[in-house]
Amino acid sequence: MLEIRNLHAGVEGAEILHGIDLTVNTGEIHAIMGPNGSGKSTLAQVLAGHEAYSVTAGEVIYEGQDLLDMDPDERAVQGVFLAFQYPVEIPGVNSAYFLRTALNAIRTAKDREEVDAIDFLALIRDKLKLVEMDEKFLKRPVNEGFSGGEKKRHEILQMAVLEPRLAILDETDSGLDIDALRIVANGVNTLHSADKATIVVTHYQRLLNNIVPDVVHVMLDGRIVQSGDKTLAMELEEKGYDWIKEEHATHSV
Amino acid sequence: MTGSKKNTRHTASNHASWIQKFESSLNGQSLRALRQRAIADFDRLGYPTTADEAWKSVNPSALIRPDYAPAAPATLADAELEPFIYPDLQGIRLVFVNGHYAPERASDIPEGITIANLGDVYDHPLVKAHLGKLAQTTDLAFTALNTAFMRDGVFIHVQPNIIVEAPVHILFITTASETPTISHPRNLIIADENSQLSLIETYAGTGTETYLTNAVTEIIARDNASVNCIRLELQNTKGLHVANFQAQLGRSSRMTFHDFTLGGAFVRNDVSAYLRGEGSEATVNGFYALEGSQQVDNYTLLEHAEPHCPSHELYKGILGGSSRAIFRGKIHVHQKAQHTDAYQQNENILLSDNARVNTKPQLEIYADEVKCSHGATIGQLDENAIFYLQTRGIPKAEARQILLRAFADDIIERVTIAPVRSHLSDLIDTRLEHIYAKDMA
Repeated sequence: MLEIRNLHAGVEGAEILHGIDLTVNTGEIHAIMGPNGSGKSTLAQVLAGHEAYSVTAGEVIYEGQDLLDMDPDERAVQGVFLAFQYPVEIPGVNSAYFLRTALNAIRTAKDREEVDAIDFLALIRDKLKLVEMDEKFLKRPVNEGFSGGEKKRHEILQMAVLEPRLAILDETDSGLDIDALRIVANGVNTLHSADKATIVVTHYQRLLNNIVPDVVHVMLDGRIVQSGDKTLAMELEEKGYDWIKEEHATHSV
Repeated sequence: MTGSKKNTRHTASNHASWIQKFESSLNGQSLRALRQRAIADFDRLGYPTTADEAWKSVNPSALIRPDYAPAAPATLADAELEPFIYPDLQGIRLVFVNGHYAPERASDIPEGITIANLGDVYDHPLVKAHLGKLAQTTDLAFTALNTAFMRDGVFIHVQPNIIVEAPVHILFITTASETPTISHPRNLIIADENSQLSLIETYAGTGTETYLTNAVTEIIARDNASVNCIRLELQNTKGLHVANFQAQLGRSSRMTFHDFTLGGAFVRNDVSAYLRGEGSEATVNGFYALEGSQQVDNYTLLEHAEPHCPSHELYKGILGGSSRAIFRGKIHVHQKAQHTDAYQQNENILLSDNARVNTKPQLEIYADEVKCSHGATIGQLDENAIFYLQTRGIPKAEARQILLRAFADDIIERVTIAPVRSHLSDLIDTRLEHIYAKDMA
C-alpha cells in the first residue's frame, strides 16, 4: 500500500530525515518507535503533506501513486489520514460542522453524494460510541478547551468518520491516562481491517500492549535503524533506547 | 494649523445664505435656532484635518469636496431596492432616497408606536425637546453640518410598556448621479420606560460615482427600555460615509448595537453610548470586511456615568488589498461609576501584506472598584489550522473560507433577528469570497 524509498526531508534547509525506506502492506500495523528528536513526527508530517517540510530526495508511492505530488487534501481524499500529535484549535468552528464538511469534501471529490445534516447525525452517533464521547461534544469548537484525552479521542472520531485506508497516528498515546489510552487503542483496533493499513508512531511501548503491531521499526537520527516483530518493542521497553543507540553506533563505524 | 484651516473655510455669511436658501426649501418647517447654532459651530470648527485629535490616524481630506450638491429626490426602481430588503422580515419599513423620504415605499405602522419622517414632525414636542441634545455640534464638524442641513430621517417614539415586535427597518439609498452629492440623514429614537424596539439601519448606494452620506442617529433608551440596533453600511466602491451614532441609556436599560461595514471607499463611524442610569448595559459590536483601498475609521466611546453598568465591545475586521482600518475605543469611567464591568476587544485578520490596521484602546478610569479589560490582535490566518483542515480532505481555498467565516460568525451570530442574520450571513460569505479571490489572484 505504501512504499517509502530513500526519503530525505527537512525544514528550512536543515535535513531531518536522512533516507527513510519503509514498506507497509495492506492489512498490516506498523509501529515506528524512537527517542525524542529522531524524526518520527517529521515523517508523519511529510506523509500528510505539511508545507513547512521540504522533501529533498526520495519518493513515496501510495497505492501506485506519487503521494508527494498530492496536496494534503488530495491525500485525504485518497484515504491517507494523520492523527495529530498536537491537534490544532479552530475557534468558531464546531466539531459537527467540521466533521460533516470534511466528510462531504471527501465524498464530493469522489463524486459521491453529500451527507445531509440528518443522516450525518445518525452516522456520527454510532461513531461517538466507539470513542465513548457525548453528543454535546459536537457543539464545541474544534479542539478549543479540549483536554489532552478529548483531543486524542476527537482525532480517532475523525478517523472513524472519514474511514481512511492508511491511518498514521502520531503519538496518539502521549499524555493519555489509562482509560483514554484504552479507548483510543480500542478505536484504532476496531477501525483497522484487512483492507487497511495503520502506522503507529509512538515514544512508549505501552500503547503496543493494546495495539499489536506486525512490524516494529526503530528510528534514530532520521533513519530507520532496526526493524523487527513486536518483541523488538518489548526489548526496547526493557533496555531503553541507549542499547540500540550503542548498537547503531558500532554498526556505522 | 488653525491659520491654514481658516483660509480654506467658507465665510459665515456664505453659510447664512446657504441656510436661508435651504430653509425656504423646507416649506416653513425649520428648527431655525438649532441650525443657526450648528452652522456657527461648523464655521468655528471648519472641516477636520489630521491636526484634529479625532482624525489623527486618517486623512479626512477625501471626504471634503467643495463641489457637493444636495442630493435631489429620485424614485427608486423595485430592482434597486430589492437587494437591500429582507424578504422574510415581518417588519416596518421606511425608505429614504437621496436623503428624501419616499412615502410610497413605507409600510403600515402598527399601534403603540409613533413613527414618522422626521422632516414632517419638526414641531413634535419630543423632537423639539431632544433633537440635537445627544449629538452635540460643538466639536464634531460633520455632525454640525448634518444638524444645519438635516432634512429627513426617522422619528420613532415608543410609548411606555410597549413591546414593538416588528423590527423597524430604515433604508437610506443614494442613487446614481453625475456630480458628487451630499445627504444628511437624521434619526431620533425615543424608547420610553419598559418599552422594547429593534431598529435596522441600512445605508447603500446604487450608483458608481462619489457621494457623501453624513448620517446622525440619536437614541434615548429610558428606564428599563431595551433597544436592539443593527447597522449595515453598503455604500458603493466610491461612496463616502460619515455616521454618528449616539445612545443614552436610562436606569436598567439595555442597548445593543451591531455594525457591519462592508462597502464605501471611506467610512468614518462615531459610536457613543452614555450609560447614564444605574445598572444599564450596552453592547457595541462591529464587523468590517475591506478590500482594495477602502478605509474604515471606527471611533467608539463607552461612557460609564453610573454604578453597576456592564459594557461589552467587540470589533472584528478582515482586510485584503491595500485597505486600512482604524479602531479607537475609549472607555470613560466616571468616579461615581463603581462596579463598572467594561470589556473591549478588537481583532483583525490581514489577508495581504499591504493591508494595515491601527488599533488604539483608551481607558480613562476614575472609580476604584471597576473591572475593565481591553485587548487587540492583528494577525494572519492560522496556517496550521488551514493544514489541519486540509488533512481532513477540505481544499485549501475552502479551508481559508471556513476560518474567515468562523472569525466573522463571532459577530454575525450575535444578531438576534433571524431573517437579518441569515441575509447578513449570505452577504458576508459573498464578500469574503470576493476579498479572498482578489488577494489570491
